[in-house]
Amino acid sequence: MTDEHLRDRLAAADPSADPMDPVTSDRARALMEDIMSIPTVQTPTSAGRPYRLVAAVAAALVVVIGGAALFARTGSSDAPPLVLTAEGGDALASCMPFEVSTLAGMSPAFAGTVVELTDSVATLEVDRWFTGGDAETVEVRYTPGFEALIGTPALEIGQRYLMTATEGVVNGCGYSGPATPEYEAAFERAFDA
Amino acid sequence: MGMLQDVADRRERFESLAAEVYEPLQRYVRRRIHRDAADDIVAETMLTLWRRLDVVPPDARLLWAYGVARRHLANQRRAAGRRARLASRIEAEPTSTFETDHPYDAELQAALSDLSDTDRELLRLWAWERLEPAEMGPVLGITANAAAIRLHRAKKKLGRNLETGRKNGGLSGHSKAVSQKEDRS
Repeated sequence: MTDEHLRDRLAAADPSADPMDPVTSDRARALMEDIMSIPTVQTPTSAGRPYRLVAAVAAALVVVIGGAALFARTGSSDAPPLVLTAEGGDALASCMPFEVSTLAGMSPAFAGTVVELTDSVATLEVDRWFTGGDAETVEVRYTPGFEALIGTPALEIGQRYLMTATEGVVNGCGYSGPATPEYEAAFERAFDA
Repeated sequence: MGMLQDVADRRERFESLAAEVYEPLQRYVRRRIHRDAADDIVAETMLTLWRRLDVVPPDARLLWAYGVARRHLANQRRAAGRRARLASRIEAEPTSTFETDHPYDAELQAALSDLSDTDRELLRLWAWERLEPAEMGPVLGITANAAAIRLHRAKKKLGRNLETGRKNGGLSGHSKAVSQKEDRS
């Protein structure tokens, strides 16, 4: 099969034959105006996610079926688990103040829920990558004292955490910890997510 | 005055960016996710572009926008998968995700199914967005060279899978292993 045949075959399954919403439409204008009204100098209150924008500009839509599923495979990823290490220690002794600008330089950064837990390994199922990876799961190999480092009395199955690491080692001192809406908003600001 | 001028400049730059990317971005997203979810992804991507206007590379604005959309799509899939798994645990019955499951070209779909996510995305960028390997790099965050090599391999693998499918008399088996398993049963 030649490249051309292959491309034609794939192109025939292209789901987006119907016209796109032009940038000059009322709907697009409203969306852009809403976006441009959001301050870009970040303040401690989150600018919020744009779902409400979408709701505000809902239009009659034609549902595309077919091709969108062509390449789709639900959820599964070929990325192997990301392995991080974490060391407990004298957590409070060496902490710098938490800064969103410092957070922004860290990679990887993700949100995940603990699904397996042993004395030395926590396996997190990632639901959100901010930067630096696309694995479905992350294994954190930790030593005693790690819990304190990330500001929690104990790791728990089912608990969701926001984590960052630097060179494969989980960052403590406020740069990893149990997820809260405020904490996640800080991650969103740091990573423009 | 200076600040007002900055705001006006920024608006102008964003409007110029939007004029370039908004339509192809919609097409990119709708090709990859159900229409109901596509509008959210486009809006989120435009918002990211607004926030990160200063770092959008002027010579690759659309490719950069594709890369941002790709990240939002991946997060959406993860969240949907997680919600579905959670719901199915609670309700003990299967739930659908946002993705449709209407095969358009079943044989092709089967042939694609054992390729990696990245390989499938390379093929989409090649066949649908008509990008050159050098342009795929910025979208996927890999080098142009890596994109070229991986695309070449993906095409070969897809071609081989389609051949295998045909030899097996139209079986929808997407790989030898599956076909042989079906043969034995």
